Amino acid sequence: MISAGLKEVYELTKLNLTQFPNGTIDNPYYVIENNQQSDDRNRFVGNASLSYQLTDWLEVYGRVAVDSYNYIMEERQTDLIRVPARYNIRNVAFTEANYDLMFNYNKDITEKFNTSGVFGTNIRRSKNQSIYNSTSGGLIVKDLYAINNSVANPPAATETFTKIGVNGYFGSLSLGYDKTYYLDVTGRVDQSSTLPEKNNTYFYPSVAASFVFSELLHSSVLSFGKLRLNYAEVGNDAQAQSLFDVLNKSAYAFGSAQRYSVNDTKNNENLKLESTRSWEAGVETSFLNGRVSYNASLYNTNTLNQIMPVSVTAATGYTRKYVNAGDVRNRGIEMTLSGKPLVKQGFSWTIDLNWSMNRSKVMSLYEGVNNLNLGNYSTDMSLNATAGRPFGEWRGSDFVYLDGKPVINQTDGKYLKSDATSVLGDMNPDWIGGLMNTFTYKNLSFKFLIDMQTGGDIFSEDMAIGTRNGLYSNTTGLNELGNPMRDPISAGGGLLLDGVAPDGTVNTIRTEMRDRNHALGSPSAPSVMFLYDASYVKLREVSLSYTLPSKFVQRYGIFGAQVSLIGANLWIIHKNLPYADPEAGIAGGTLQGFQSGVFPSTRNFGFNLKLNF
Amino acid sequence: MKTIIKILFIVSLFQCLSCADDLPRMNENIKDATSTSGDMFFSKVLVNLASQVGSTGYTANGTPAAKLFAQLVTSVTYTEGVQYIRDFSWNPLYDMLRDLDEATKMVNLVNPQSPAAEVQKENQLAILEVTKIYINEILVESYGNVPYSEALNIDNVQPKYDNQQEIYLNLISRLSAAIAGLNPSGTGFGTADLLYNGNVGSWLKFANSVKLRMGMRIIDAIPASGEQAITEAIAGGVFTSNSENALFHYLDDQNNGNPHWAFLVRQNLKYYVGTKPLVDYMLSVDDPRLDAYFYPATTGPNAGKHAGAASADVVPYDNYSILGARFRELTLPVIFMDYASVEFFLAEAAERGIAGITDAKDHYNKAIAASFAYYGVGGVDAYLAQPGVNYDTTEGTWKQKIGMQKWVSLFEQGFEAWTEYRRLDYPVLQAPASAYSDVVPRRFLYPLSEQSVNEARYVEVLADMGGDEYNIRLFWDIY
Repeated sequence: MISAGLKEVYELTKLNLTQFPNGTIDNPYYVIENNQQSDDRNRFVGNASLSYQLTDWLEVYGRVAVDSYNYIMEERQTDLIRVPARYNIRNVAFTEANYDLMFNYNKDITEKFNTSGVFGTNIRRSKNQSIYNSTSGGLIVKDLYAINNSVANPPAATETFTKIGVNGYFGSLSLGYDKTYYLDVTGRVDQSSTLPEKNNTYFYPSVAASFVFSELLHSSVLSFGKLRLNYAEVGNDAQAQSLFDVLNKSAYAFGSAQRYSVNDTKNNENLKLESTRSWEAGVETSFLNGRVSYNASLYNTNTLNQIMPVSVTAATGYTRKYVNAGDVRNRGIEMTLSGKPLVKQGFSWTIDLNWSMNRSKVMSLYEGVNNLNLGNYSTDMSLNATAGRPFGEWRGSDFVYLDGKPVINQTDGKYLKSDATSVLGDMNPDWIGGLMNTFTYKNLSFKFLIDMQTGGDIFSEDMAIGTRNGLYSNTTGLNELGNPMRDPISAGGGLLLDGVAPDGTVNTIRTEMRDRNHALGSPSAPSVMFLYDASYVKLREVSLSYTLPSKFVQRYGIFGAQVSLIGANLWIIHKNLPYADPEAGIAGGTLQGFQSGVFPSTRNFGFNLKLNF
Repeated sequence: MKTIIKILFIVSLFQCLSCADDLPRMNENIKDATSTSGDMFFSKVLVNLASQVGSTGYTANGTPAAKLFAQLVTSVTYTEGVQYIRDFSWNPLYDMLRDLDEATKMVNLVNPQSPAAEVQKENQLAILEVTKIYINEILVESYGNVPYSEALNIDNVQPKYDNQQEIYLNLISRLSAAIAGLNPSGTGFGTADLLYNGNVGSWLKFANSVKLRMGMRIIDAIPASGEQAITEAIAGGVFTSNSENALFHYLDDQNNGNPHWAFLVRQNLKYYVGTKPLVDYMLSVDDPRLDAYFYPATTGPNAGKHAGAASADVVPYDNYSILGARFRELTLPVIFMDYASVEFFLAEAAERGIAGITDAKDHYNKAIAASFAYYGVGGVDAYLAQPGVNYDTTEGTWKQKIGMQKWVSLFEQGFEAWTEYRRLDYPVLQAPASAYSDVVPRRFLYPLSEQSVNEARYVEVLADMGGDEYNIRLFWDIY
């Protein structure tokens, strides 16, 4: 209702008008139409390579690859209610060069015994340089977006200059015997510019063994069967410039006084590389000439000395500190099962099923610290890594329970809250799975994919704040007396929460629902009220493809042609999080499992034409 | 031959690299400074401190919220702060302390080449120390126990909270030492000193005035230590006129102006109006400062008149008294401490019969006169003659008389107004019905992040403080 009003107001007046009290919120339609960003990028990618066969089993290969781009980002913002017009520009130049020299060999030592591998070096250099400036205090001439149109003096330009260099040396050796037994060994030494000089060189190996047991069985049922076991280490360096501290210079001098301060993030000149060590055991099988196949693997991965800027108490003088944080273990199972239940007269039906589960555990942290705060949210919610617990646990206030019922404060009728250190859940799903069905009839193919996740907890800041602001239906309507709950209690309004008094008797104290500080929204309500089960079942993808008859297309010099209609993210069949897609929000990094101002997820429809020449 | 050329080519690709890049040097930041002189950290801190003690915040986030807690102004648009919805952060305070430590470190590295430079170095160290004490005082008076002896050390990421009374007494003794280190005949920070432009004598008076304040703050809890500090401070020389006030002067420059200007003029935010208790009291005593503090309401039932809104009421902005003309000037100064406060403390010392001070009425009158003069308001004699203001005739205990007038005169010093309200218990203020506490807060709540970033110590301090609630009184707030 409100947004329709805003749109009409904007379209009628073309002005930044809203009906919010005391006028502090901009009309979003005005903002969309008047604030323009632009992005201009030039990219150059090139490489040159040469190879030479030294002998029949040894080849030398050299390559130089350069990736280089420049871009200019500009943001233009017109006069808004709270902020004057503003313009800023960022110019970035990035170059990465890779130099590779490799010796590849492949030799059959005997008829059954084969060896192959590579030895070489990779040298990588990258450089990132940027400069940023903005106007200050508004624009002199309206709609002229240029730094020199700044009302007040523009701040000093901000510059960055980052170089990274890695020298890598690697080798691998593969041995195969009788197409049945295989052994692969690799080793790599990297030397990185981002680590302290005294320990900037590190070695990481891997070993993989496999055994194709179907070669020995000669079974008519088992077409292919392989067991494998591998162990691998991978080393990672730090982000550039995370070793030594630099100062922050204030954007403006205060009169003649220049101002500097110490950076809020403490860098660490003793950083070590981070590494992952993992082993994996797996089986790959295929039966009845590929009608049925089954693959499974078990893995255990330890991430050691992860380099991250952790939150620390500001009483240290800093808010974050770069550390090598402990040991996080992930263990899990992954399985896929595929089958063709029906193959008949040009018709086939294929089912692909995958299923996986992962369990994480924080084995240790750093410097005697047992809890790492990964993020703080509105209300008192925090995401944590705690030693001995799964990575990504939610902590915040819970209800206070008495005999399984929430206890109600007997003065204001609100829920009592536990302190903010209660463990409320964790962000990790119990398991995830997917089911793909493909039906093919002659040139026509139809497939759909259903994905699901069970478990995992998601914190919705949107529900916490939206409920506080009375957006949702649980904050309005009639109470159990039949009166509007937003009326004062004295007029029969308010709400009677289901719960007990601290003495165990049924709650009889009503709570006011008149303003934003009501019992059901943030921060009056315990944070656990806004933690939801992130489970879902989704129709992820549906597609219909038609492969044009080759005789037909070949007349036009085309080798093959396929047209497809694709629909993605079509239907959330089941979920427990209200008003939003549990998968929307921040993905990647350690900050997962929460939603704040997420956009509605969209259905995507596509048309795809694929031509092979 | 062709083969050899190919091989040579491949090898030559690596020739350019064998310039044997110095890998560690690639990681250097060549665009930002790694060190600079101490005065630049000092200037930075003074600007930040001015923003902390001078600005008005609409959320319960820390020092700027104190103006709401003292019910000098209320926000009629966003009510988080006036409902005491916790959002506290002590980051700005510890940030400043860290920068001051860096300044001290850099000053200590200076190798003076003359006796005058030697004096300057000592003065600079003492001035930095006074500033640190001022900030630590705010910390302790906000929260109670806070990290202190183990604070500001990044190698200890779980610093313990120290006992508030021990911190306070330590601050007073540090202040005495800093005062002893100030030599008014020498130079200080020069133009980097945005408070006194390098005048060390003014710093000496400021330091003694702060010591007077700290002594009085603990007079109920630890009378002997309080009286000693007060006596020493007065003997050392406290403010004797408005010209000695510790004022931070903003510039007539949009980038370096008073934050209220940006708020009220540039952004035109319609949040703050006078509160009903303040405007009603000032109307009742016909206080001419009302027109300096506020513009009258422009519309609604109170149009043309002064009117205050009850804290936490969401009402039309223009129907009430809004912040006055002085808050719309870029150059509005921030008061770190003023002469009027000193005279109020002296009036109180006379009532308590300590430090040899007498004649409370005289000091009370001087305090009010100083406040009128500061705001450029005339008619102080007529004001003081009113029965409701006259020290001899006005109702109530000395705490009430001094407390009410002090509250009015501290209008631009929200944190001090809230702190003195807690100590003197006047004016009588009620928490809004919708607020998150039954009482006006007696302290700030610890930043929520402490519960996860410093959990073990937080649990300890809960036991030491008796919880983390608004109604817990700090050690000096015993009445």
